[in-house]
Amino acid sequence: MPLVPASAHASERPAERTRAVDVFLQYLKAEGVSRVFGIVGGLLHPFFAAIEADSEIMIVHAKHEGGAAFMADGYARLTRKIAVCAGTSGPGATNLLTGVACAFADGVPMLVVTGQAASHSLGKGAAQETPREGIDIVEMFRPVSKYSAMVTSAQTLPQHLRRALRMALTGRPGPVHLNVPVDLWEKPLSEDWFDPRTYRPETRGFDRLAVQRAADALLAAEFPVILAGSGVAIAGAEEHLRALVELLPARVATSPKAKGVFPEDDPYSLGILGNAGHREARDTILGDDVDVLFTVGASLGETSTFNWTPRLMPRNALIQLDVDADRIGRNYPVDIPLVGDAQAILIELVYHIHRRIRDGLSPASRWGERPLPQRGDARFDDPASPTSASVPVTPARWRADLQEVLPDNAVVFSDIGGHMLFNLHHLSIGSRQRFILNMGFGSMGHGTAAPIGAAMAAPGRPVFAIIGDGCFTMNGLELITAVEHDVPVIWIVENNNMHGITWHCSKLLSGGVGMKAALARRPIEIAAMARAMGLYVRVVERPGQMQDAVRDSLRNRGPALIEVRVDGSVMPPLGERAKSLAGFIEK
Amino acid sequence: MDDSGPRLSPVRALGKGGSSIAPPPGADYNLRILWTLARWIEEHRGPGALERLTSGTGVSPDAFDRKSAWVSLETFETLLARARAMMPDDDTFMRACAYRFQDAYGAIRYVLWAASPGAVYALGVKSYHLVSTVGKPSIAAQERTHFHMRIASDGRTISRLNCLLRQAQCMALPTLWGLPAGHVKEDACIAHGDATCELHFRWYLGRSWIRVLAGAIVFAALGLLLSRIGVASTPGPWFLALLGASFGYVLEGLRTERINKATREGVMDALRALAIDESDARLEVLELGQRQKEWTRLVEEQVNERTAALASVVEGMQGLQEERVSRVLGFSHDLRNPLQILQFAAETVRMHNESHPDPELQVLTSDMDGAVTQMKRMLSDLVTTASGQHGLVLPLAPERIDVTELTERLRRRLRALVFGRDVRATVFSTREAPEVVEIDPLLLDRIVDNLLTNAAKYTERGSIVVALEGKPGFLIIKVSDTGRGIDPDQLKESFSPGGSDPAARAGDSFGVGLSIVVQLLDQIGGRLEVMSTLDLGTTFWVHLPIRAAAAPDGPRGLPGKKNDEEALSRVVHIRKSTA
Repeated sequence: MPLVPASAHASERPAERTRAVDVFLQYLKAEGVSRVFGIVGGLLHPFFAAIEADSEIMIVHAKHEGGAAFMADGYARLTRKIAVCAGTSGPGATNLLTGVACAFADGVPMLVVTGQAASHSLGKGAAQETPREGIDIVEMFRPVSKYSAMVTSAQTLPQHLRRALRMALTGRPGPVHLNVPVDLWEKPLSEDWFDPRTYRPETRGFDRLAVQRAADALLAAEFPVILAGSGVAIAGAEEHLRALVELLPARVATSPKAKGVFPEDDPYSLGILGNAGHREARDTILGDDVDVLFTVGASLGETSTFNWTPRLMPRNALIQLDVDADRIGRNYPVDIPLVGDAQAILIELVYHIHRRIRDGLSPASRWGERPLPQRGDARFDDPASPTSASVPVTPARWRADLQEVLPDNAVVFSDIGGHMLFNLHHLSIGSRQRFILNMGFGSMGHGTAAPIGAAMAAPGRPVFAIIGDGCFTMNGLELITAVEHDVPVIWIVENNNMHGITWHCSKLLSGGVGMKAALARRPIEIAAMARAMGLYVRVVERPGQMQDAVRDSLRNRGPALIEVRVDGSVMPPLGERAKSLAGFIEK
Repeated sequence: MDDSGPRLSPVRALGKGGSSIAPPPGADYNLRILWTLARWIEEHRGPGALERLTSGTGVSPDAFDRKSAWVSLETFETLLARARAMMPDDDTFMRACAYRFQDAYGAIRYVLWAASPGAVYALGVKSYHLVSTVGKPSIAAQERTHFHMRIASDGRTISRLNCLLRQAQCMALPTLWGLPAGHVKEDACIAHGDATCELHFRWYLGRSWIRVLAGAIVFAALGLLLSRIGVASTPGPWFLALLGASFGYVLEGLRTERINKATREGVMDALRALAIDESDARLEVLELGQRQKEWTRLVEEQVNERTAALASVVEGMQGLQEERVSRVLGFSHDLRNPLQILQFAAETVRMHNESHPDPELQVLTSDMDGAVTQMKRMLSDLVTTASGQHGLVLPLAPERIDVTELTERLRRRLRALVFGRDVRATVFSTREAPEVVEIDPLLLDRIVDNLLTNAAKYTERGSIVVALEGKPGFLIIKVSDTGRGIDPDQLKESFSPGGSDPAARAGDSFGVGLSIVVQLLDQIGGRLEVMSTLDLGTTFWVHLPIRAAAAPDGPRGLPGKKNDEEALSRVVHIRKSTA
């Protein structure tokens, strides 16, 4: 192994005195960290060596640092605790960037540790050095993290770490980055211990009067609608959202990214608003009935607002809840802003509404007079598509087949691409299921690697990754990591031999002429590749085959891959996206 | 007998999983054999003909379509005789027996194509028992286009019609390959009194050479005629004969091609029909699955509702029992007082008697002593027995319960309790709640059920909010309703057995639920906070220790009014209402 400093071997002997790395690991354990995702290497050797010697933390050795960051992201989304990923200096660190950016865009708490040349040789041209005055890795991480710093002495390491943990886990969670010169890890360090409760506050403040105004507005609303965003999942406020809905009652749509934070089989669910969304949500929210619209943790970006249509505004009041005051009123004028943690505020809202009901008030909601939102296949743009018997199987049909056997507590990841639009439109996520999609940054490959971390975080839950052939070829080698650790993720790869969203969108944009580069020049043998990696493999080509493939894969209890060879000519539900792109081009 | 029958059904039975493989006892013929006959009657003798055919036989008109309908020999013969009576002659009968013969096989005939007619005849013989138990068929001889079948009688008489049916269907067999029907030569027949039926089937394989021959003859004759009438023909008559034969050969080729084409289309149609059937069936299964889910949900809700109601009745009964026991205990206590007086009086009399001995009085006082002692012992027994039955204190078996699952369970239960009423109910947990709580599940159920049932019972309108919260060492279940509330003066009494104001209770309430909650909580070291405002609502906070070990062990002394009061002061804390 190159670049190993002589002192690193000390970590293989029993430590006689407390070193900086020991203190570092003690803090990680106190935060509940049991895994570090990354790729080992010289400039982080003391750090990894200490972990390897520790019985409570294990290294999950990825195939690419980007995959390691995605896995940490998946891990944190399920545990809602901090996850750790690490890459050595230079390319090992820059490879992490995309994954960290994903976590930043979606508010996932993550500690990123990168290596650095020894502090006494910085700037002298040490191998893979990334100093402030050169290829400045700390600065590179700054825009994609809540905190990015180089530790310059062992004494300040705990302080940096506590600050990083505090910032990662309070307010809107997010990634933090610490860059540590290799010689600091082994330095002796004696320090007073801080319990996690003493360095990061669990206080969740909000404006009580604003909440009371919101409660009054919601109680007085005749046709209240809630637009739930991914902030609901970040705050773990799914149940509390349901509680509010059940008290009023209101109808609920989610943004595409937040699919499933409100159960889509609930009678009050309108489905998804925006890209690949559902007619019922669009017609209701853009219609004239809605008098109060309450957005919870939704950024009101392009994908959930039909390119920011003014018709989204309700008749009487727009209530916006976000943990980040900077998001309030960004694209629409807000009548009642609620800034703070979604769970805390929703509990307070439920309390006030319950209290008002106790005092004799009745919610004015008149949704009961209207027919319930359409259920089943009727909610799809093409209601006949899930029953299509054509061969090769269509994307809608195999998803209908999958729906029959999807376990009640499944976690479903989607990657980015044409398959994502089908996932959003055609899957139905129930109350104990979860849907995860990195739409904030929209990186292909996230939905391929992140499920490995998620399955490690929740060993009892079946984890599915529904990805496309493009995502598989981009990051699919991380499946080897899953096989090495025997992580029972089931990858369902929808193979249409193209980047479907690009191909179909380009056809729409240029009068029927597609971008040929988006097509695979020869068929990709995904099943064969997966077999070579050691996964349990099934191939689905016809309607009705998916059920058995999934049942067998679940029974297999190990990493499995189902290649679905679909009819690539079926256009994904991308009408809105295409319009949106067209809008950009016109503007 | 019906070799065609055997062939007809067994293959279908094998092909489709064979629900009809074993004949039921007392059954001789599978009705599927008569499918062809039934179709002919249906189509040629109009609607109602099938009903006439089967009336009085116990066979339903659609039984011919099933594979599992079996009849006795007598019934079978009756059906054959009635069918024959609907037709002018035996030939028509035989044609009817092989009517739509190919349809009878459906797609299976394409599977049979892999074999030759001879092999299928043999298969029919071997699987004969799958459609009939009458007679024992065997293969006497078998050649390429000839099959000699022998059916030995098993002593039972069969009719000639039965024999004709079998012959007709056997003869039709080659038509499955698009060949002309076979021929039969009959050497002996059981119906004619012979011991066996001897049947020789011959069928045609391969190309027909008739057209070739005819072409050769016609052209040769033409050549001869031409030469006869003096027309000089360059090609000689032999060459013309050859030309004619070739022409015949081409015609034969065209005919074969036509047959092949028809067959191909038949295969495609059958496969298409199969695919449609399959997708229909799948859709139906999907729909059934959906309906089953709906039903399960409904049933679950109803079961929950009933369970909750039953639990409240059971607890009511237990409370009644407890009330009676405490009354007995109270009476026992009160009975001791007059006994004490009696004993004291007897003692005084005895002391007086010592100074003025009266033997009669002595006997009387010692009798009184004996009676008092006996009554005391009986009272003591009564107290012991009654206390023993005072069985609210159960041994605990703590388990680890996941709070997320508990939340889900409470949500279902509460929904069931308010189902169909104008009450909005909701359950959620907060992030302060512990992930796991260690508690006896039965005990937890009793506590929670009591509170939820009360909340549902006394809330006619408004909302019930249940929140699972936490503080270090405790899971807190907060149950808040907008019900009728409890009078502040009555609040403390409502925790004693039967202590609540009877007028304020619900119709089916015995007023003991809360006292049970108190005792159960006392048993595990929990506590109960309550805040209530009359006509506005009540909120309970149940504090449950996260670890079972943290709870004091077992019951705290024998139950009784005094102990109940102590438990009450230990467990219950009344919060001042802010409303």
